[in-house]
Amino acid sequence: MVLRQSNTRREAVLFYVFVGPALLGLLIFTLGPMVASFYFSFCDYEIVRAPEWVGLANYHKMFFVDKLPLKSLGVTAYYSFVGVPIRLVAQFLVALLLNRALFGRSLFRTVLYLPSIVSGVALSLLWVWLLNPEFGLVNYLLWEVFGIQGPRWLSSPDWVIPALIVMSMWGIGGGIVICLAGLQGISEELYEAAELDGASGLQKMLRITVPHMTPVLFFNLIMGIIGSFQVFTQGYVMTGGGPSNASLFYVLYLYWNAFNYFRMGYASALAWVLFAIILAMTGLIFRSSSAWVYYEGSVQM
Amino acid sequence: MKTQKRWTRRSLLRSGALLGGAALAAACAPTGTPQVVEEVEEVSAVPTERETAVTCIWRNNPNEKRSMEEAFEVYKQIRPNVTVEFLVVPSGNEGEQKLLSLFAGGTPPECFASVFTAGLVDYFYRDMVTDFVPYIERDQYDQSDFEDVALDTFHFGDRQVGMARGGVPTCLFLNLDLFDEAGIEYPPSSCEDDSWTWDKMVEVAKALTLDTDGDGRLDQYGLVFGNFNHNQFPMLWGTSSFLPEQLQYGIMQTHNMLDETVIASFQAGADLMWKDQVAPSPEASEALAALGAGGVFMSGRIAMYASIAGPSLVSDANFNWGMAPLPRGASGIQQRIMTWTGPLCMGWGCGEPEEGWSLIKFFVGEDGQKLIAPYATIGTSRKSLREWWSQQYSTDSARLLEVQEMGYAHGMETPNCRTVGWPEVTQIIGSGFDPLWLGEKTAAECVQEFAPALEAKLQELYAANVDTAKDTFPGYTG
Repeated sequence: MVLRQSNTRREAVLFYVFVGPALLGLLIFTLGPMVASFYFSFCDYEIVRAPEWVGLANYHKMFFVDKLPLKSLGVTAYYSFVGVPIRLVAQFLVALLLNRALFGRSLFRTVLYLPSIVSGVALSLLWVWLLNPEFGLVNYLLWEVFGIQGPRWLSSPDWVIPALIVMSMWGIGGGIVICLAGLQGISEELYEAAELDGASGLQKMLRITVPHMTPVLFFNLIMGIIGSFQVFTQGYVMTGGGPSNASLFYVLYLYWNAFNYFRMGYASALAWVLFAIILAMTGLIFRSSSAWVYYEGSVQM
Repeated sequence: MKTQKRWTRRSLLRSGALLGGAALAAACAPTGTPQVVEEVEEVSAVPTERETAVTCIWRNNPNEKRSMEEAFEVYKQIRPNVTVEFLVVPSGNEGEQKLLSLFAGGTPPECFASVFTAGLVDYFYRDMVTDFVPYIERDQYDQSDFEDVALDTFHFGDRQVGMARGGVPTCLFLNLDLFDEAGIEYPPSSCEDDSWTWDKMVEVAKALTLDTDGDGRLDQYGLVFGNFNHNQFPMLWGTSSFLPEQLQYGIMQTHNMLDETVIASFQAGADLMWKDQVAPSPEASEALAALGAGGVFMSGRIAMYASIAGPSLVSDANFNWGMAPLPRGASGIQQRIMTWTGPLCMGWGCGEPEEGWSLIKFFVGEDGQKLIAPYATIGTSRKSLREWWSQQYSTDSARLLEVQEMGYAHGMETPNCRTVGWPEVTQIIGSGFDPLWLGEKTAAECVQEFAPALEAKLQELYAANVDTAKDTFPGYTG
């Protein structure tokens, strides 16, 4: 009895010893700065001087004085709400293809995943070249194959976001891998039973594959929305927020305020508003999940 | 019996709250930098012989970095007890980020080259830079060899917050091979030559814009003309985008963008691409720039290239190159040329100000400049080194020297060093003019659209800084 108690205590101590570093790291390097940035969001804080309390002035400025936060939020929402569904569908369809017994399947899987491990900056510089309207490969192919005069892509306020969405398709490798794992988790018996019942390929897809994949799609949707609302590299490297602020992503504007404009307090307020927006959207998606996400074994009302 | 203290959920939460509180307190604590500089630092000490380390941030290219490292080796022989932590940053954004992080951490650098995103005046208004006047007076440091425009740029009231490490006037780089192939005479080398006007330059550029392989597309352009700091074109037309007070005090409640001459000058810049068709579009420029390391001119397909960088930019060119002054907007206009001046600054409140001053003196001195200036995009700030410097490149040194001399004679500081909130100001102007450079709107249309936002921003910056300006500049009433 005593020995068992001693072992339990020892395990508890070991538990805290092992989680301690991670917990300390979380407290000091994540939670601490988060709380500090919340405080700074109510301050005029230029980094090089001590913060000065200004109450809600930063939030007031953001919503009623400065036009760029709303502009950048609109740009980011456009990029997210158009880009994320397209990427979700593409991830799912490509995963379906890669799940089939294809010749060279491993090669295709590797090739499709490769762009995901390339640095975002390198990828951005590559796409600047590809999307160059006069010398780029994209417009060259549009003209040679389809006879279409391609747009000015990154130089056009109307086309810059679609161009960046097209580019973002290169980063779907991670989502494909998750979808593949989901597809391989669907029991073969379900398909066999459906075949015995005379189900067509489309019916199997709609009645078995898609419902079983909804938890995976749900996960990819959440991560996609969070990631795309934090998009930064493309605007920073490829367009500088232009032309005419058409690609001024919210986080890019936040960065400018923090490190170029000496407005860390204002940038902190921008960050907390973004946090609230992402939190609200995640909450909404979670609430909607009961209507469209199917978990095996759960009771559908 | 001694009871053993157990970790309960409550005690764990309490400890966590304590740690969190400590982290918050640490994060919210005032930074190590002073809030308001009431007086300049006491200057009495001289460099010590103890082991010390100083931090130096520099934005540069690979060639300049190598020369800097050599310079540090030389400096090590002069000050063997000093270790220089050399932080190289590739661009202004990274430089600003690094600089602010050092200040936030309470460890301002002893030396930094202030060519980051914000201008020198922004650092000055935030008490980030040390006033060198007490050091200069104490050491009776002779500054008469420095270019006047550099000294003007680094002075705010009776304070001097930058030491002149380099300076280079804007001018035209010429691809002499393209001129020779076309049998066209080189532009004059003298600024005083009144015949070298904008129209004459466009005429020459037209003759040098060619479809050399006959495929129906231009592959050689007469000219690329950068829009430096949103003031280059107006200056060539004898005016300015900003009011004189703006450049003197750093703040102003309005601007001069709506001036007809200013608008006409910007329109002329855009016409090079879309009307005269002697310059590549922004996208074509981008593609050409990728053909040769060092920018669009290095592609070898540009006959004339207006640049704010010095000859080190083209020193690796595989064609013959030369230089010419910028043209006048029209005949008879009093030309002013933008001169890029590079200060070396010392962070206010840095740990080793004496060693910082010693290092900065080395860099701005003759020996230091001789080690770095040939590789630096910003050249030399010393009049006595101009001739030597002009001989370091594979071009007609007499012509190079004449163009540079003329540039300094007509030189005027770049607005970024002297405009408070320059990154915000330039963001408004830059994004406002995007449709002009893309050939979608006229300069007048663009200016009409962004002028109110620019004025509002200038007024915001004015309100935030007018008190400091009144304290700094004797007689300034706002």
